[in-house]
Amino acid sequence: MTAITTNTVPRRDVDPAAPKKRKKNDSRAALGFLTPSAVGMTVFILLPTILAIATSFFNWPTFGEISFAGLDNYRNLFAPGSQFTAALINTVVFTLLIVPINLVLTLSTAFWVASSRFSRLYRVLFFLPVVTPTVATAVIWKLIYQPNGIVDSTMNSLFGIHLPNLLGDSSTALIAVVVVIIWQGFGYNMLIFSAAIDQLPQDIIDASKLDGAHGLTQLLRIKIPLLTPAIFFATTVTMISAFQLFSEPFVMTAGGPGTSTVTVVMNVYQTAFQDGELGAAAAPAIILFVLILIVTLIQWIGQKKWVHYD
Amino acid sequence: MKLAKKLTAIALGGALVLGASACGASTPSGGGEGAAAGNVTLDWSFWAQGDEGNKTWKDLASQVTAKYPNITINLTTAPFADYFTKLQSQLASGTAPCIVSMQSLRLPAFAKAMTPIDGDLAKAAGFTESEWDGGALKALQNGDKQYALPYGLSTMLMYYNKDAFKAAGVDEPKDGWTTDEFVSAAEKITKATGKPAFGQTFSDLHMSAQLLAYNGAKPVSDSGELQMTDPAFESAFTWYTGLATDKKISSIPASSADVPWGEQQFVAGNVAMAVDGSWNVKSNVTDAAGFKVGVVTLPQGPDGAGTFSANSGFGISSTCKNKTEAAQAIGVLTDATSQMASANSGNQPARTAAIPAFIDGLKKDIDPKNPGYSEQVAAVTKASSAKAVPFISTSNWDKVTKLMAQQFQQAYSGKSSPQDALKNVQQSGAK
Repeated sequence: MTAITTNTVPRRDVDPAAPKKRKKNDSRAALGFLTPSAVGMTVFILLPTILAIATSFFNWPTFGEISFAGLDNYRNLFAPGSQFTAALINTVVFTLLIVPINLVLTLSTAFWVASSRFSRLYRVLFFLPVVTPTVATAVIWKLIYQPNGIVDSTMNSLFGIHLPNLLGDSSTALIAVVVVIIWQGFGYNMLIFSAAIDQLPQDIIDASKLDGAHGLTQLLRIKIPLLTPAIFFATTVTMISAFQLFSEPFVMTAGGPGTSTVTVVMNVYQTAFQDGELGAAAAPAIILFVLILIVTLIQWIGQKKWVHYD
Repeated sequence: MKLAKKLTAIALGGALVLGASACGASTPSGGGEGAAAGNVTLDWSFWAQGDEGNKTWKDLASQVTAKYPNITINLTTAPFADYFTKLQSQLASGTAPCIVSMQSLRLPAFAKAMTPIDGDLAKAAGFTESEWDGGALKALQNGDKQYALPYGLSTMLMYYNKDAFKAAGVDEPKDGWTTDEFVSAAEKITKATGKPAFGQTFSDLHMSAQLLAYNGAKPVSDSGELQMTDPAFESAFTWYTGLATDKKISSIPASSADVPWGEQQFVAGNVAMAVDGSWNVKSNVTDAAGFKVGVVTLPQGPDGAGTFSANSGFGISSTCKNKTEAAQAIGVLTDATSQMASANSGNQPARTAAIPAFIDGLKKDIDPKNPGYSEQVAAVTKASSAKAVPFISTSNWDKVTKLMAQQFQQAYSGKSSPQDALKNVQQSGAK
């Protein structure tokens, strides 16, 4: 048995064809591993994206005749009466408010939680809103905000004052929605930062202490630079979800008052499923896609300058 | 080239719609499932009717099988606010139910995806025009074709809290009362209770009906064109918003998402009066938060034109594979026996013969707790129906209603002028 093995299986280092065979076998294995995800990517991401782009060039009612529209769907986005411009501005404002407020709050809370004796309890408590269904959260906050709602009634009975109708006033509705979004999404980034803080290399922290870095200096010069990969991840994810904002403003304000809380995704949804115009709905979706792509690319390119992976 | 373009478009559309409606129903295409020996299962979608209503319609679905043993009905419901959005996705993706419940206001938008009930289908449904209220049938026609057979006829009425009127020392209103009397009563009740007496709303029929009653204004012309900036409509809308901004006798929606505000606040006991449809004539009493309910015609202005009527019925989707069976099922669901059962559970019937059953049902179920109500309903529905005009909507009515909620919030709260709000709706909503 041994003799047969010895004779039939030559030593690898002496077989001149071995590297080629191994390369071929490796290629097959790689193909096997990559194919499922490549098929998934193609069917569920690439193909729908291409189809959505194609749809945006058609006049496409939910039922009725389909016709080629050229660039009309894009032109109509900026025509009088269209809500797209307002939706785009609102979406950018939402993003500019949500991302920095969320990051500053979650990072500072994560440092505070990390130093607390009850850090595990706090993490669970802060994470609860994340796992609560968004629609339920939005409905509850709507009841909290509305005149004669929980807060208004309490303020009235305690201090005899009525709160303004926050969701019914175009100057406060957007801010009121931002508060809910930050409250709801707070736990996710805090958990990421908490985990990153727990993983900070103690030897570097100790070395910085020996070098005289304490308190704010240590935080700004040592800890935060070490946390930049987590900060980069949180920034990117929060920014993308802010651009795709839909549920909270849809449930709480339906885009009103006026167009003060309409977002691009809401505009897409309403155009497609309430107005019944699929082609016209695909156009703002593509613009949002390109916008998110550009901003994410800028972040990826920019990260080389401020994210420290070592 | 043209064919290739069309084929590409169809292929792309199919894929997109499949993706868009992936979370929708899993019924087979066309909503009608054929089986051995001619047995068919027909999907029927309806907006939720409350526990009692849902049970009534489920029982009636079983009556279809009793009459036609080869037909089984699969009834699914969705909240009214989501029903037409869901139906639109189903129709677009070919997964629509065979039998669709349709409201007259939405028919212009959906007629293209439905099959007219005429010829053999009308015969299969056992449809005889003379048995029906003419207005009820007309409201479910599009281009002179009958797209659905009505199960009910609804007019818009004013519901009021009898206890609040009594507590404020205000006489209960009588059919034919005026807008001046309405404002006077609301002022007295607001003063006595410290809460606005009337509940404003974004609901299309509810708000528009009160404007029609004020000066005959209509949001849509008889030819189906949006006319929000029509001077009569502007004048009526200015009066309506003034109930909150100037007279402070009206509660306004907390946000644009609170479309049925007034009618919900009424049932909760937060306002003493609200406009609502006769379809809620029973539920408004059973759901009322511990007070007695009265109902009266809408207060009329000097040029008031009565009230709006709207009705709902059952039609057949164009993708249905078993249209004859669907027509037979609709025939059972809207026949005299079914309308009696539906009327008994509180739906104002579209068949004139079922009206006594409607009143008798209220007498039996409501009068013991809310004395005299059935008599009041009999009088008010008769008076309202005599002066009711069908509500004509546009083919993009869902878009218009969304815009109304967004823009009217500003006008109700005084943040923008009524004229500006109407102009914005007109600009975005006109096709």
